[in-house]
Amino acid sequence: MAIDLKSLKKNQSYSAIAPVSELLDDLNELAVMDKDAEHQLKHYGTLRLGLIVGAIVVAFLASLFLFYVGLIALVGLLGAVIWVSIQRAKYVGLDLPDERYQFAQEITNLLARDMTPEQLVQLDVGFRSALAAENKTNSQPHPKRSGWTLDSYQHDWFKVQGGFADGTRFSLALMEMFQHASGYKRSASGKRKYKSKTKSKGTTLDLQLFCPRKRYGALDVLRNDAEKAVQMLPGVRLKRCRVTPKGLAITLLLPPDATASMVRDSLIKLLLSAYQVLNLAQQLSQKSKPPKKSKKRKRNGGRIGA
Amino acid sequence: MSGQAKQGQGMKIRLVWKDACSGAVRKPVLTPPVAIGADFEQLPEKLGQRSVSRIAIADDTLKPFHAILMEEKGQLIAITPKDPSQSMADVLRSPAGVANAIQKQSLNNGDRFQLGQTPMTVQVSAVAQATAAPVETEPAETEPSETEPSDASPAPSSATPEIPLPPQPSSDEFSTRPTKLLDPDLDEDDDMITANDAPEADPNPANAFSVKQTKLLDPRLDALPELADASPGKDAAVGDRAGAAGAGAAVAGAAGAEDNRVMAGSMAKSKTPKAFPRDEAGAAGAPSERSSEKAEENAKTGCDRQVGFLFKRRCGRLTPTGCPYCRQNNSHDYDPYEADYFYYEHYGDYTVGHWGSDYYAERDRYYYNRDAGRMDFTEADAASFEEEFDNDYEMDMGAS
Repeated sequence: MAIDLKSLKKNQSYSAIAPVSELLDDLNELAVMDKDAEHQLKHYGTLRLGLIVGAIVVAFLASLFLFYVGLIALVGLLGAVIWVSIQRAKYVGLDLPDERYQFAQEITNLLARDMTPEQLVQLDVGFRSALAAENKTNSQPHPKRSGWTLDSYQHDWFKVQGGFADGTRFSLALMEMFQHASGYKRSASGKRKYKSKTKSKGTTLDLQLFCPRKRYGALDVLRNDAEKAVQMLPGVRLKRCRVTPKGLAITLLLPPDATASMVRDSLIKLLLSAYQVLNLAQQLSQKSKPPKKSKKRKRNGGRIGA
Repeated sequence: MSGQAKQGQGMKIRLVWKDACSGAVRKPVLTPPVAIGADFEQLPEKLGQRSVSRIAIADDTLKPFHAILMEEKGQLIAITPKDPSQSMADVLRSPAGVANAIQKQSLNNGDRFQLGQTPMTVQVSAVAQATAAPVETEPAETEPSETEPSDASPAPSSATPEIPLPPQPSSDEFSTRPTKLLDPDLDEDDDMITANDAPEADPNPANAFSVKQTKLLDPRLDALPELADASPGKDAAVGDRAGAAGAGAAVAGAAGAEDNRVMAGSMAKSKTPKAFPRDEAGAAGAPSERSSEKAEENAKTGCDRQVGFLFKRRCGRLTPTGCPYCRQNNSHDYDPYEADYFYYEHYGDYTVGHWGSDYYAERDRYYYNRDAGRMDFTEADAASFEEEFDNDYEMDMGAS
């Protein structure tokens, strides 16, 4: 599937609905593009720097010796600097954060283990900075510093939806949360300086599974105990575990210093935890015989505690 | 005691089949008669006075009580109803007589047959049959106590229903093929599960049966002395419901055996059967004929290997190209995701002490009504309701 470069540059995000193989191809292509963009940026950056240095040297020499010739050379060099800058700008939008598409590749591969090859998957990966304006969710005066504002950001840069081979539909979302405090600070000398500080508030990992009732009909029975089946890495908190007859939703809160590998490990644990519950539900659901009447019920005339 | 009784005591059979859900290969050693069906509780504990080994297989196409394997004159016989709509329970209750309602098929060592959708291979202890006669001459040594629920106590001629043997009919549902061992796994020295080794071998309930490294019960391998202790009276029920997809077969011992089925091993430890024939590098000792047979079989039906990470399912690939399981010289032990199971301690393990053990132990009491789309009232619910009945609510200040 061809990647729309214009859209990628403009929105700084990749979004597609396709089979896993195509998504992985796209992500590989993104990786190649990113490497190429990094190379070109470095190349044009070095070239621009050289031209600027050359322009300064020419300007200096022209002022001493050949003014007009030097002026023409200077204009030429400045033109070259502008052209190089334009060329470089073409690749700025294609320089993507490596960890984002690498994470997407890893997770897509992980989920693909239990998917059929033709299963369509919707993948959304955002490459914008977490502190982009559209990610701001709240802005309020700083509770402790007068004149400062405290902005909250939520950046859900990774979302994948699809279906497993057992008929279960899944939705997995990763959201980073930040707080950005900014304001003016007066130094001891009386100067006012603009200061800002960004603090991570953690990452949430949200997994929702919508299960086929024929296979996992007994899921509701495990409603009260499902939470105990969730295993987590140290430092990770269970934010939510909700089981309904139709599926389950688990949300983990990862610590602010969570690395990409920690997120991946937490996700594997999360998936295994969810399926530890589902597999037991399947065990309880697979029996299709009618229940036997107990002897006690017969003794009580079939009363069922009404 | 008759000679047949002695023969029955000596004959051990080993049924080998692959659990359709978990993919685990089951290889219990049993003493005939063996009742096979889909519902453990509907399988008879005794036939006449003989204890019966029971095997429940999670296969929707099987009847609750599908077939009996029993020994007759030193020959292993498979008995199924003539009428496909009937189960063996109906046949045994049939007023018209059992003889006309059943069909018999003799089974030899290595025969492969199919029950419902579950193909099985039977391995008969030929050594045991050969040694049956000498045992017959020493009744004092082999006379079991009457209290022991051993299959050797009564004579099968008097204990089992009188079932005359008609000529072997052919049946679509239950067909035997005197073939070679089609599963290459069977030719290898492999872990053998003997159910009654469990309690002594490992007190840890998580490993409730022991895994003994022995040869297969195959005349060529002369393994019988190591396997001969699988008496049905002592057989513990074994249900190796390995993991996520582990809908499994429960292999139970004979009468009186407690239904203490446990799931042993984690998903990561479960073995998956080999799918595609090994390539030359990995074909150490594997006959090329068998590989080509397997290749042909796979080409038609797809790979039988159980694959997947969160839940196991049939692979179904027609070629090994691009298969992550077929990379390591097609080793059947190779699981590309094995390392990831260590992220979750005891994944797929619902034995005592692990999450879900209570539900798992009571799983037979849960009944999901697929038509209504809900869990129906079960015996367990009844018990809990009755406990509520017994409460004196006037004394319960918290009751509304």
